[in-house]
Amino acid sequence: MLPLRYLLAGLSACLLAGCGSPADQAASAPAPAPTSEAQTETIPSPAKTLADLGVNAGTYALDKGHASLVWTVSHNGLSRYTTRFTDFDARIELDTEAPATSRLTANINPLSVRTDHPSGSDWDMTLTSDAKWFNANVFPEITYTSTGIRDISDMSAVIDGELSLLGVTRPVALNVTMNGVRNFPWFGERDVIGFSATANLTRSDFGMLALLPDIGDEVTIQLEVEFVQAE
Amino acid sequence: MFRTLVLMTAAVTLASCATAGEQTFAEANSGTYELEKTHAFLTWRISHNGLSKYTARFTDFDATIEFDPENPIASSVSATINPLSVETDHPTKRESWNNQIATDNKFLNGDEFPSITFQSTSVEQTGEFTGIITGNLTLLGVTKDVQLDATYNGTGNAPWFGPRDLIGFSATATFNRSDFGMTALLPEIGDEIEVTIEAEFLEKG
Repeated sequence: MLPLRYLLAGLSACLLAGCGSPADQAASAPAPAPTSEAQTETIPSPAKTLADLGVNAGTYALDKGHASLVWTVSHNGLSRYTTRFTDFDARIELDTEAPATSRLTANINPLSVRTDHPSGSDWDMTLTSDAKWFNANVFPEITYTSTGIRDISDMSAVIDGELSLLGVTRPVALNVTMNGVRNFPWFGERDVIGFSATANLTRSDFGMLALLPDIGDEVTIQLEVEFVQAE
Repeated sequence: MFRTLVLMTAAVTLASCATAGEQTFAEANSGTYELEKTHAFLTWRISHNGLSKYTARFTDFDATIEFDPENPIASSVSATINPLSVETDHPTKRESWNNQIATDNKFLNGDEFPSITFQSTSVEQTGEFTGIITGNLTLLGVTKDVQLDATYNGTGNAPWFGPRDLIGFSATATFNRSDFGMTALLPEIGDEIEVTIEAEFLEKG
């Protein structure tokens, strides 16, 4: 029993730690600000591309142990109610030669809302299941499918896509930063890539009107996600 | 019956059906305010291999504000966080992973240091409703200055709290964990911890 526990502990430390080579973060560092007119006239260095980073093209699956989807909504103007989905999955088809043709699909289990309400999990159940909220018994899945990628510069881009929530499909854009690529012994040649992303959506667009405007209409989404290249 | 009651209470707490919060000091009472724990969130992030910011939270914490709306910089705040309340939402081994972060002596060592505390020492106003709250953060038995970048979102009321005012804040802070002696897995797991706080406080009855 003890050895297994220690093995798990060591493994999780490794998972959190990485135990690998340093991330290619240099690529994501902004170019230094020009310090003189002469410098502003020099030809800027070309934007970093996925190919420059040496990222493999192909299919990438979400690393669920390093994936966070937090959303916030104004509560009475006094604070931003902060919660998250804990069960979601995503897949990237990465085209390193023509990044704009890459594709992202994701699905979220609406039953996985977690609020940490001090009274326990009944409140999570209400949010997930009530017809006024995520109505998960009728709509058991929230999905997102990218339709295009634009404004690609250095390590950032805007992903356009369609979000299906409560049976309504509307465009939602993700502002994405690619944080880097790394390799780890336990994944062999398979690349691990990481992203931070934000999005805003208006819940009334999807027919979720309950308690407007005390509970705000605008929902902000923050994603911190890693993906592992498929075998 | 009890379950229904809890559900209704929860619905009401999110709903508020109350007077909308107003970003003004003029309408807020001075005095002691206690954290309204059903509307209080403490999220932290830390770089994971430079690839993403590992995002977790504490779910059990408390705070008290001595609020002076006429002279906001004379206000003070103290807070206590239970390190054992780390929540990571790990998909396959949530409880053991939460427990490891909370109790491993490389991380929060919560059995030996059962509370993380913050006590403000000064407040500097930077805008009409913004300020920097400087205070002593005690973590792993080490006390260091940490600054909270805070926004006062306003004040409101709710029928079930009668005349007692609610006030709400958003705040962020960053500090280096190595300053508190937490050096495990540097630099793969980043040194800098980003904290995001969204919290409402209820005037003490």
